[in-house]
Amino acid sequence: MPTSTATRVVTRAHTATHLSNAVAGAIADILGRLGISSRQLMADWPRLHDPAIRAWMEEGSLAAIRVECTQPGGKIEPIFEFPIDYFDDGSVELSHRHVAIARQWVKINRVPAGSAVAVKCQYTGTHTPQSGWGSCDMAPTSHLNRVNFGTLAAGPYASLAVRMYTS
Amino acid sequence: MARHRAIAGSPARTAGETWATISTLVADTLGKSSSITESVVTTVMNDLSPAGLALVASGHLQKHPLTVVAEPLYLTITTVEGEEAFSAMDEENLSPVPGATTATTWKVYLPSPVGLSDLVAEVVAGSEHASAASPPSESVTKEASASNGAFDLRRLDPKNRD
Repeated sequence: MPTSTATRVVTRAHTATHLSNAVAGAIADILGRLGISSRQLMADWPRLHDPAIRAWMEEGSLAAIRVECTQPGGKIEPIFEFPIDYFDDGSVELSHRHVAIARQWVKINRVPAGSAVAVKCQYTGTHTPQSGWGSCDMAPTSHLNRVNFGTLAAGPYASLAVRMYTS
Repeated sequence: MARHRAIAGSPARTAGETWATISTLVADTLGKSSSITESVVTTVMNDLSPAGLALVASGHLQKHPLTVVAEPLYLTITTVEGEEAFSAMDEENLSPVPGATTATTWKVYLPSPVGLSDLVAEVVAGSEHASAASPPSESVTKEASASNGAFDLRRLDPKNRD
C-alpha cells in the first residue's frame, strides 16, 4: 500500500514568531504581577513590537529584549531581560515553558502605583531599522542582583531565556 | 449544543493573528443570529484583544478555553501551539459555528490565570458581553434554555391566567 508523509520545515521565521509570542505572554504576565497594566502594551504589540522583534530575530541582530520598570521616585527596578541565543541547530524542537517558569514569578513583588515600564532592545551589531523604534539608553544593572529563570521558549536556530535584576 | 474549535497558534500564526482569527470566528458565528449585531461582537472582541493576545501568547488558551455562551450554542475555543499548530491550521474549521441562529443573548468568558487576571478584569470591566468569571457549565445553560422555551400548560386554564 502506498504511503506518504509530510514534513514541515520550521524556519527561522517560525522560530522568531514563536519567541516573539512567548515574550509577549511573559511580559503581560510579569506586568500583572508588578501591578502595572499591560493593556496599552498588548494593544500596541501586533503593530509596534511584534514585527520589529520578529524581523530582528530572523536576521539574528536582536541580542535581548528588556523591560525596565521606573518607579515614581526615579528608581529603575526591577529590570527583566530576555536574552536570545542563536545557534546553527535546525533540529531543536519548538518549546514554550511559560507555565513552568511563571511558578517562579511568585517572587516578583508589586511596585508602587505610578510606576511605568519601557520595552527596549539590545542588538548584536548592525540591525535593520524598524518603524517606531529609535535609540535609547539602557539602565545600569551592575548594582542589582540577577535572578535567572531559565529558558522560556526555544525552536530551531534560537532560544530565549528570562532573567530579573532586582536589589 | 456544545461545540469546540481548535485554532492554530504559534508558530503558524503570531499571537495577534491568532486572536484576530478567534475574533472573526466568534463574530461570524454570532452574526448568524438575527438578534445579534455582528459589528457589536467585533467591537467587543476588539476591546478584549489586549487580554486575548496575552492569553494566546502565554499559551494559557491551549488548556483553558475561551467560552462563548449564546444559548443554545455553548462554544469553547482553544489554541494549538508548537509543531502541532501546522497540522491544526490545515484542519481548522473557520466557518461560522452552527447553533447560534436562534441566540438572543451572548457572552464571552475569558480565562483569568494568575498574572493575567488584572488585565482580563480590566478589559471586561463594564461589558455586558464579556466576563472574567468562570463560565456556567453547559448543562446549566441547557437547563436555562429549556425552561425559557417551555410553555406552561397550566396557563391554558383561564383560572391560571394573570
